[in-house]
Amino acid sequence: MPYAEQFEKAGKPAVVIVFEDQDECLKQGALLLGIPHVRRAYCSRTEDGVEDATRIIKPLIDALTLPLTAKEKEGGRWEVPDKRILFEGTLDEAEEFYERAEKVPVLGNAYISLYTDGMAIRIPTEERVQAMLKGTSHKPDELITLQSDHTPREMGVGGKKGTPVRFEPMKRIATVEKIAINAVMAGCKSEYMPVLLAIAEAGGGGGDGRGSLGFCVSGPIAKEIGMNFDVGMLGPGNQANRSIGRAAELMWCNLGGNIPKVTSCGIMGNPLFNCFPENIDALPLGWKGVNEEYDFKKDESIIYVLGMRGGPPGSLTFHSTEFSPGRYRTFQKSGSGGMAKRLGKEGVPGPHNWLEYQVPSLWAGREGGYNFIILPEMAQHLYEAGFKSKDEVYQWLYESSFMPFSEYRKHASPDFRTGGWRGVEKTSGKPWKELPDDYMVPAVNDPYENCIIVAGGGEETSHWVNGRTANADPAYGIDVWR
Amino acid sequence: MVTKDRIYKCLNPIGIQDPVDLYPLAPRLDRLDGKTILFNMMVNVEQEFLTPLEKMLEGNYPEVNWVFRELGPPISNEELSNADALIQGVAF
Repeated sequence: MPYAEQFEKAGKPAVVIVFEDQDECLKQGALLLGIPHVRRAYCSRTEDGVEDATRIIKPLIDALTLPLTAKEKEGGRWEVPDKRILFEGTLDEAEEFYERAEKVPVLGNAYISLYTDGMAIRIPTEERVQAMLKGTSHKPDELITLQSDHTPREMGVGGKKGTPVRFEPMKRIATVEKIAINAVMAGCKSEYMPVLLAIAEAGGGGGDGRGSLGFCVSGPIAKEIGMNFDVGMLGPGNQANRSIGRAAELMWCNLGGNIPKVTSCGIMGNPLFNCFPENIDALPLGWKGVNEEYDFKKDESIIYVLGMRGGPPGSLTFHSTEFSPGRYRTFQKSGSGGMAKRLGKEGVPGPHNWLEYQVPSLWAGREGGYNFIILPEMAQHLYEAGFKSKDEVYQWLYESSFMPFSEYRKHASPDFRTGGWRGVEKTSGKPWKELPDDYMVPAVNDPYENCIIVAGGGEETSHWVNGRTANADPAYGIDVWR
Repeated sequence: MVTKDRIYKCLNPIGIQDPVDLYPLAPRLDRLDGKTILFNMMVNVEQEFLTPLEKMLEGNYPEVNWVFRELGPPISNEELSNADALIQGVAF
């Protein structure tokens, strides 16, 4: 799209080929670039390629040659005034106002809320927002900016300290007060404000706009604000876990302007709704917290953002271990059962490296690392099985991801990522096209595409979602926002 | 204290949108003969569609100077000044 902008603003015609179901998103993107009338031609998701190409030729040529309409000759200025007071009235009237929704034609006329996430909210009266703002020393009219340098993320926030944060997909900016308003609406307490402001600094809930993100608190503030570290930490019941996660999604709706299929073309949505804490007290000896992995001190708190691209694009995908807790305990206690058979540990009491059981499925149809959310008990088993640091687990995962090139070639994404197998394979230094079939290539680019978060409780089940990018910095300091 | 009839000022949760200057579209090509059209295309994605499209455009419009280039690297000032029009695809 920036290419079309470049041409149109240079006085040269452009046309963009797009899927028709993404046309609204493209129009919104064009509006933000100042070329709202950019012409489009539609290709098909399903039609035979030759037939599709034959059909699109005339629309493409027409788009470049047919004279402009009166509307297409219009310029102007698009402005959306920011009114601080959105509504005045009784609380009942305010509820009715804030909980309005409108039909979205491209969503089959489904209703999408104008100001909420689809659920009832707590009305953000001036008094309530003032009370919320007591949770931070930052002034209400302070713009949300990066509090330290951040490597630009793929399609996300990045830049030098002081860069205003632009909330995707509509690239809006926000003040501390705007965060407090959304926090009130979500049902947060004022002591959550430093966490919420760090989430805002990370761009809120919407990532690059296409898929929402997950948030983990690593550091002492998690206990201070009463987060649930244990059974049910991803479910309902705990105000901090639930409302902070909700506030992040409200940021995506209200600050970012997410309207599905209109301003953002995502997939199905985010299964990781709650914000959850890392249980730093339950880390095995010598294992660093995620905060320490990003060079924060043990007693400093951060927001760690999940879903920042270590694998295929799109929404967070939630996986879990594939064995029953009972069979896991048998495996670890006495080395019996199917897991022990598979891993050659029959009759050998553990603890054993249970991740080895998962390896065949981790990269069967996918590449890249994972963010593993591992129960304290299961993390301790890994420690006792020999992994004296998280780094050792990351290295082991990386080494476990190697597969024959003949197999790697049958994966979907590398076709695209290598531009059709052009360029050089990293581990061999040879062109992809010269590699023999039996050459072993890693599905994970770097051990640090993996991350372990020790959290949760109860039955022996652990989870994982899309991993991280090794040289990115998805960690945002919380304490600076106190 | 909350009373049923009390009037409250309720605040705006929506982010602040920078104004955007809107441009009219550039004039269209008056003819195709002798024009240079840059096709900025995805590589190894949607190739069942883009590869035949590339051939058809060249075959159907031989009078056009078609320049097919890979989507990704920025378009240089030289490329921009040498081209008369742009086709970009597939956007997603």
